[in-house]
Amino acid sequence: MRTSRLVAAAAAFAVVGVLATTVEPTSNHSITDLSIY
Amino acid sequence: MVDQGNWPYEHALTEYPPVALVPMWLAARTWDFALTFGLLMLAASLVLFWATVRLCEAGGGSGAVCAGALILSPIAVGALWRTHFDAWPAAMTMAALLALARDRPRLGLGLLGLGAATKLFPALLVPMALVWLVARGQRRAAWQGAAVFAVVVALIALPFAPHGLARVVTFHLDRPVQIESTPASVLLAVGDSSVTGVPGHPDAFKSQGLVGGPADAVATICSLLSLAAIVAVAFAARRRPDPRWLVLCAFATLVAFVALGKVLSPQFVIWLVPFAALAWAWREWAAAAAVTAAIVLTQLEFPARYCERVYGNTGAAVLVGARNALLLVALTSLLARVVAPARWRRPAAAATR
Repeated sequence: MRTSRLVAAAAAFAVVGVLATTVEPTSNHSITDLSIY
Repeated sequence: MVDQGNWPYEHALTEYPPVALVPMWLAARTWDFALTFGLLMLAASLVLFWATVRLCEAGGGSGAVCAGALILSPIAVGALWRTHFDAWPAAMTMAALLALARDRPRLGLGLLGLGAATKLFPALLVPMALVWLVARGQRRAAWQGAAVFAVVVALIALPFAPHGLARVVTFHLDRPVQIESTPASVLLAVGDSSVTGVPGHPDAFKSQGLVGGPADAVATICSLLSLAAIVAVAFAARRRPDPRWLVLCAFATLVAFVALGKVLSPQFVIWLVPFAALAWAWREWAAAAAVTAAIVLTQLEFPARYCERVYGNTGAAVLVGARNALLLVALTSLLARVVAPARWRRPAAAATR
């Protein structure tokens, strides 16, 4: 994979990562309510 | 606490190795711990992404397929990517494997040392990596790499050693069977064990576990099976000297540890994400599908149904049991791939396609 495509794919990964971990239903906001882990 | 000149293992009940404290310390120095910590994990995840795609290509697979699987992975994992530091050691692990694949053994073993000083599990890959290097005819590099690993771990650990660092090891050895682990699923079926970390039955390990009855025996049996699998994979690493074999052996090693260990915290699945992406790209269908499904089930269980699991809800227990069964399927598939006699395996030409 050429570097430019790898950078674009990494950017897509970052966007999906930010959305999936901050927006419901996958953000699981109750995760910080548990006193474990 | 660290800012006040205190040693973290003397004044706090932390069980994490020293490097794990770095992102926590950095985030604690900012105005928004959660935001900074999340950004640090995002940075680590990008390193993981780059290393995994390049590793895929080094093993003869499609970088695009691997990248696609990784892009979708946060949806499968959920908030664990952001709230736990496991992306940090996972990134070091993938960078270490890439360095080994690119004929940089001392850098690879050094990165494994850094990873082990973050969350211990990368140390599991050291014997396998050394056997693989020797099989490639790099005996001298293997010894040098082992020395680099030892030096990196020692340099990081020694300042903390007189100040309670042993707790990092004893904590994990002493804690009971964690309630989401495979041994716990077995104990649920067998019965006679009680749950810790609930009102009236405190837990000294900041978690919920199972004690009493056959708990210790089941945990010991599973640990021995895990150890046997890890040792068998390490020996099998000598069979082929190519990067894909190294990664498959590393994958099998970590799945053996996760699937059969007495602790299976939800964030452990982050370690497996890059390997699952590689498995999709390399057409290791059984392992890829089983681990991906296990990751999804983990998100369905944690945190939403965790308390139900603790208090004995059958549905939650079945969900966790199914997740653990999928990990055992993945382990069986990987062991059949790397440990089984050659006549049971796919032809090498197909395997390295």
